[in-house]
Amino acid sequence: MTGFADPALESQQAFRAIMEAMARPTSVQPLPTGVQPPAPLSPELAAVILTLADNDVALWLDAPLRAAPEVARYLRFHTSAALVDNPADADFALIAAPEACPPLAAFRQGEPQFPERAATLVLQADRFDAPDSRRFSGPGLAPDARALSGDVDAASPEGIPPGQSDSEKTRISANESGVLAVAPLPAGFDRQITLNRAQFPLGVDLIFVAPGAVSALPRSAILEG
Amino acid sequence: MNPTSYEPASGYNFAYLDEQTKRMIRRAILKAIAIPGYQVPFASREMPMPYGWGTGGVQVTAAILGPQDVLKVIDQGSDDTTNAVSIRNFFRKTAGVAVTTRTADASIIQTRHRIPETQLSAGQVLVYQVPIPEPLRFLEPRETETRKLHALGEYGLMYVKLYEDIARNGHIATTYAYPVEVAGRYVMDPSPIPKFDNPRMHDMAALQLFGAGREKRIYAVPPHTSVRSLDFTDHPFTPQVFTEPCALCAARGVYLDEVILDDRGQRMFVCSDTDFCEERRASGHRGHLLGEAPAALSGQPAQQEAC
Repeated sequence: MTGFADPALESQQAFRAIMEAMARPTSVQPLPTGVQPPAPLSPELAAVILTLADNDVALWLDAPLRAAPEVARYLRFHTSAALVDNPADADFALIAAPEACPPLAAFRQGEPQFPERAATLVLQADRFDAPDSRRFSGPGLAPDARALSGDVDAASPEGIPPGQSDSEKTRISANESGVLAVAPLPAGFDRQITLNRAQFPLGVDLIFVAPGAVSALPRSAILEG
Repeated sequence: MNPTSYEPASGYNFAYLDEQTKRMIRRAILKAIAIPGYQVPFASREMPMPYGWGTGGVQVTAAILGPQDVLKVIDQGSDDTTNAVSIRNFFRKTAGVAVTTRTADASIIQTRHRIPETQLSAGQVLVYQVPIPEPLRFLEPRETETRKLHALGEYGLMYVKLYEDIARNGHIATTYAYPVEVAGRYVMDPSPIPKFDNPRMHDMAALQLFGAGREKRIYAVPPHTSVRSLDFTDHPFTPQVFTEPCALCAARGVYLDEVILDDRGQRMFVCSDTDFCEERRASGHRGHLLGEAPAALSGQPAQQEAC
């Protein structure tokens, strides 16, 4: 039940992966995890939350995470964040079972003059290579992304060392296809994400984690088709 | 200059800022990326340098910087000015990161008032130092009002300002910090870059982050995002055009600085991007004022290669 062994360097690595994911929606970024959280909290979900949460934020846990008291103890010890019962009070929502996620509209949506006050949902998925995929457009996605989608290699995010090698640069650009193939997803996801985008600049931001990787859908992403 | 690593000074956290401050800045950066062009307030810290010297950019850089990064810092395009040298040394000392002057070698480029001439790639992050982040501030001094105008997407005031430019001067006389509309929603101050650089912000492959330390705002333009300079159909946006090439490297289509040579009106125009100019000279391009260094100084054999 450990947190980061070297908080400064490990949280920096994790943050850069999250930042790349947010800047290039749907791209799959390798996420190094040296943490060992109690089940059902996955190491990737724990790494994201240990990177971003502290005593300035409020966390909301979904039912499976709330059912395990060690998870709350672990998060309180490592982040000092407040745990809240009402989804609308949370800055970050931790969701271990995305298919049972409350409606996106149940979380804080931001205010017209302060849209950044909206919640960030971190969803623990199983995989980023699901057969059921969706295409997104918007900021962070090249307008000619369709041309790139042929060589997208989202299935193997592991094994790429962090750093700025040329191979990584090409991998990132091949990763700008705009195709999200994450499973499982919240129920009625297409409708919910379309409604979320319709109220831009308000709306929640989503971060997905799966073993060894992170991906994101900021509120600016537009579902195609 | 090749990337080189240094042992960081002891007694500081990695990259100077404490971890809680970095988390606060990182949360602001994520929200800024999710809402392109919107200025996210953040709890800017006192930095060991005065406001106006890049405290916002430094805090953003410190929050994203890692040991594997290669950092480049420019001030008005130059790697060699006091501001750029001190910020580079600051991170060399507190983070031990490799630094470089070569644009292509850098993974993070912190800039004051220029975008490098070399096209940036997907693996790079461009961090701007911003003095006044609010594009409407000189038109409406009240923060409560500018916040409402942004919320409503009401930018008529800015168009009136540009129109008054035309009424007085016959053209839009704003030449730097030229307002842009990001992703079709928020109007943003691109920081005091020359309007020459504005078209480069559009659809850039690199992530662009903006930090304003005194004004306590962070904003962002994600990669491949539309950035449109405000204009009118009958007065379209036009970047500066230079009639002569760089006097040292003969480059055309780049942003040039005017350098006064004597008190009789002699002047030269040289690239503002020093790294770009040096690389061109190294690959054999010669402008009409480029002299020969004496053999004793240049460290080269007296015979010059043909170019």
